[in-house]
Amino acid sequence: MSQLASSRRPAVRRTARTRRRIGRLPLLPFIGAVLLAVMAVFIVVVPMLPGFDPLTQNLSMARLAPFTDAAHPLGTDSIGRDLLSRLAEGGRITMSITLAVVAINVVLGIILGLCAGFFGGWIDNVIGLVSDANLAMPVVLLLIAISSVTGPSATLMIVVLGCTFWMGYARVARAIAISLRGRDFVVAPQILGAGAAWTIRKHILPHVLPQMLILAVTDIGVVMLVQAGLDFLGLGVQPPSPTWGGMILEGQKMLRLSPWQAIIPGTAIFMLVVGTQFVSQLLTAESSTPLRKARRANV
Amino acid sequence: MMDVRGEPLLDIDDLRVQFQVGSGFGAKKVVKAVDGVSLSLHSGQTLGLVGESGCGKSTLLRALFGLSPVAGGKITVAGKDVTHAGRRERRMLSNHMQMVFQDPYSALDPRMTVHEIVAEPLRVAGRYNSREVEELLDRVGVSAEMSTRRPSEFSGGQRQRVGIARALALRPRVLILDEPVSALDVSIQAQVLNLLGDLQQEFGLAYLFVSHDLSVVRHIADEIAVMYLGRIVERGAADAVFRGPEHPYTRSLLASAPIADPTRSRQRPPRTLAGEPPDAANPPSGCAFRSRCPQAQDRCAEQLPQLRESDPGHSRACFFPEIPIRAAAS
Ligand SMILES: Nc1ncnc2c1ncn2[C@@H]1O[C@H](COP(=O)(O)OP(=O)(O)OP(=O)(O)O)[C@@H](O)[C@H]1O
Ligand code: SF4
Ligand SMILES: [Mg+2]
Repeated sequence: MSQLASSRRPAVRRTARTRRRIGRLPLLPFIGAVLLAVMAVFIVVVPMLPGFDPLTQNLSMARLAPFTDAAHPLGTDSIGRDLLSRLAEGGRITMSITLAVVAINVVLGIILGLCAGFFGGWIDNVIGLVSDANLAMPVVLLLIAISSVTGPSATLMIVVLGCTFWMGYARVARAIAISLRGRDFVVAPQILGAGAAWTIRKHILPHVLPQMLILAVTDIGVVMLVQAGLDFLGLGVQPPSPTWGGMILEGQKMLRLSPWQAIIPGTAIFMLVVGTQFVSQLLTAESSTPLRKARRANV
Repeated sequence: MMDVRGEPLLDIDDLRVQFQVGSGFGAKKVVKAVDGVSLSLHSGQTLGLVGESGCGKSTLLRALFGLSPVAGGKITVAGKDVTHAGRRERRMLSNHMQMVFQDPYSALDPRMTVHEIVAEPLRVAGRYNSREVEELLDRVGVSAEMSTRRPSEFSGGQRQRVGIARALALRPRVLILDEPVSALDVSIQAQVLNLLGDLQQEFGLAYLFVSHDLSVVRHIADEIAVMYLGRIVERGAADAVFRGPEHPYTRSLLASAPIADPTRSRQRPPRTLAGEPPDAANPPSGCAFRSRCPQAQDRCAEQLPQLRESDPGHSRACFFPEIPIRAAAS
């Protein structure tokens, strides 16, 4: 039979594909990956260093410029706190919040999008309505309104931002679910008497996840900027805990005397946003291929 | 002859499937995609269902699994009424009857390995067994080393083998085959048809085999049902239908399929099928085949011809059927 011939061909194709992936890794995603790796190492390693202390004030050591004092490699802020430590601690807090916010949005978006797309009908309509209402809602105003009652807090910001960016995920998840729900491989488990949960989990979710990852990586930068802005407005994490946005806020008042106070966290945010955008380019190219291929095969 | 085999495994009685079409505020139209179809399938038998694209074959098959909006009639599988079966009953049903899909590219999840694909029915039924899956794959001619690969690395024929293995996983007695080879190259078609023949022998399967290709059905079917615009227009033993087609539609279909047959030359010269089938939402009055029928007369526009037996086990729905030579001679 044709089995021998065709079992050999794919193997060849696969090695070719692997080689292409390694050999021609595009420059920008590579830079992005390096940037993110450097940031991650920085955030993890700095707290292990002996002089790590993001909170202690020392007015006699205030406003040390970077690279002038071995004990404070990145200098100090206007009340003498070590900027290297604050940058690392701020990065940890900022990243944790960002990841939490993105994770909430991804989960919400996937669940609502898949339900809307798979079931259609009134479920789709209701979720569409909620999504539109959410899109029309001004996040900052909402946060200010709630903060004025409960007082600002990191948790509140996470919850509010967590319910703010899911619509993009939902839209993509819904579109994929709609494109898949009539396919025979989605119908097959229904014939077996499998429930909707099984069908969605086994046959739609795996097609949606890679796309969600792309969106999520892109969103990390966006969410971090928004969050930095909210910290900047005093609506997020409260002092003295450092965040990158908060550090820029403090530094901005000292722009004349110690410009590095704002420049250093600003650079960190810039690097992270650029890094995530570059990496997401690679994911887009990589991950859309199987689905596109499957779609083409079906035409 | 067919009736003495006892209770059928699958019995379809006067099945109707209707789609509401037309949008928004406009008057809704009803498409009678399946309109009063009765068929039955016995153990070990192959029933070939033939008809042009759009005549409702897939809709009929999907109705068997609760995937088409059934407007009337009754579906009985192994003595049990499953017309409106719920999920739990479908699970029971899937032990009796399984489906092989038309398009092997859309039938297999591109993100699963073929092992996982064949394992799925067993997992849903809660009796997954890795060795059983490998045996099934081996039986349909997919080697063990291939079983960890994804469908994209398989040819169309191999994918259809995987689809067949999946359908067999729960050891059903009835396979519903929706044009299982029409998407394949002719050389591959023969291989898959041979496999289906072998499996039928081995497992004592009954096939409801749908095709628009008469030459394929002729190879495999014991009995033939010809469908036109949602209705069965001729039905009978494969031999009888191929040798002495009585409905003008069957005759046109046979004429457009080149089949060497000595008995045919003695009949009237065959005519090929002209024109397109009418819009299912807007069928002609009376006999639906009227718009393309060379024999059509006034009566055909006024009344709907019912299936009538000419010989035992051979029936057709036509007011002016061909009189086969064999019948005239006897
Ligand atoms: N979901 C639906 N909504 C409205 N009409 C439908 C729907 N599904 C099928 N139909 C109509 O029912 C009729 C039969 O379609 P069906 O797919 O069963 O044909 P088929 O015989 O399987 O054709 P093919 O050989 O192309 O597979 C067609 O006229 C089609 O337009
Ligand atoms: S009933 Fe009339 S129109 Fe219909 S197939 Fe027979 S002769 Fe043709
Ligand atoms: Mg079909």
